[in-house]
Amino acid sequence: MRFSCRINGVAYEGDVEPRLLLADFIRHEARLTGTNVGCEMGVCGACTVMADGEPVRSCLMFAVQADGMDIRTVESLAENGSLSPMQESFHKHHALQCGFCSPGFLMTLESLARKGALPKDEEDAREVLSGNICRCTGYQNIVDAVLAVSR
Amino acid sequence: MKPAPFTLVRPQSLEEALSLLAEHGEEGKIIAGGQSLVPVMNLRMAQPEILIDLNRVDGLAGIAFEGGRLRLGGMVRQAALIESALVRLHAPLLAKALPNIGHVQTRSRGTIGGSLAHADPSAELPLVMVALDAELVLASAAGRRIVPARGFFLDAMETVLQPDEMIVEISVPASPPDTRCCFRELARRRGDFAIVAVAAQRTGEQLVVALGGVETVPFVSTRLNGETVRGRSRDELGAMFAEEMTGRHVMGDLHASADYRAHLAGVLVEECLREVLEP
Repeated sequence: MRFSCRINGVAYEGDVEPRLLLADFIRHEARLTGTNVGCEMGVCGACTVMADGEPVRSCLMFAVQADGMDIRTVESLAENGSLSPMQESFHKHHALQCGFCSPGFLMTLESLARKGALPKDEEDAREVLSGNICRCTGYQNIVDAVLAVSR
Repeated sequence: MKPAPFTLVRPQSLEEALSLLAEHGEEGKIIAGGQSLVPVMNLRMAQPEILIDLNRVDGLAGIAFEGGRLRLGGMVRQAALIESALVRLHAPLLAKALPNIGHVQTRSRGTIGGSLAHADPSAELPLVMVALDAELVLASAAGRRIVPARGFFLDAMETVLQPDEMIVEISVPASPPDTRCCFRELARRRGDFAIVAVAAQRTGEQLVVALGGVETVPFVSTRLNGETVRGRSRDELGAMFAEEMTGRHVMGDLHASADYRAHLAGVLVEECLREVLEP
């Protein structure tokens, strides 16, 4: 089934099985492996990307459903080799260890940042990030990194 | 895991969608937000041969206030419900429940119609629609029918929807300005399905207390209403509710035993009654 979309501003076309997940198209066809696949059942958030400005679980969309959409992945955050402010804050506050969940967190946050909706306190931060799971950090450093940017 | 192979069709109109449903409704499934369906397909717990994708169909995602009712298209995203001033104004109970549904990434795609059609016993939207006495408009190629939410849910994951039918609209009577409402849910983590959820709404002398995650479908309490709660103490209300619960078929599973759910229900009902009854 044919479809086309833009990923990080670049046009992609595919002729793929309908069952190919958007996450797998991004990783295997577009070769953008920053987006990670954790659970494939929509609970971990590691696959979070932006689709037409909204944060979505790319393991719960079929690639063909992204036809005509503007997809943004973690690769779009850094500019000319410079980390984005949120990436920089994650680095500074040690908000990642293995880093597997980090693209998902960053894209959730990017979608909020673009709406001017970054959480300003700990309660809100934990609320909006409830859809992203981290096995390494215990979340506190992630919260600190987010609030350092939002405040 | 990856889903089994299927055909995907993307109708451009409701008429086309209904015609596809008429032809393929038995072996096929509608995909709306996909937040419930795709996990099930990825786990191969469901292997529909054909998916009818509603995301290209216009006219199903409206939010309007007409004739004293709040009218919601079946494809309205949960995120859009949260943003809607009309929802906040005319259905405050729904507005209170919405942040409990899933997560930011699921609400961007998940739809109200999809959640109702999926009929998970622990889902918030079925509970709120039952509490608000919503009406669902079901459409097929043969026509339309209206089913009250209170008669829509048959069992866990089972509704009155026929294979060739889909939900096109949900409408609720507008809540009057002096309405007091409360939504309480207990879940192990934010965004998880409720173990038990209570939705209560009072307008003047009318009171509705509804529960989800207790039986296999959401229900309205028969013992607690505007008449019966008048002048009762907190202990009396607790006893009345506990009595009703002994006659109910409470679910028990690995998340919570039936006893625990019944106990939790009592706790959350008490909280809600306090919130909507006390001056």
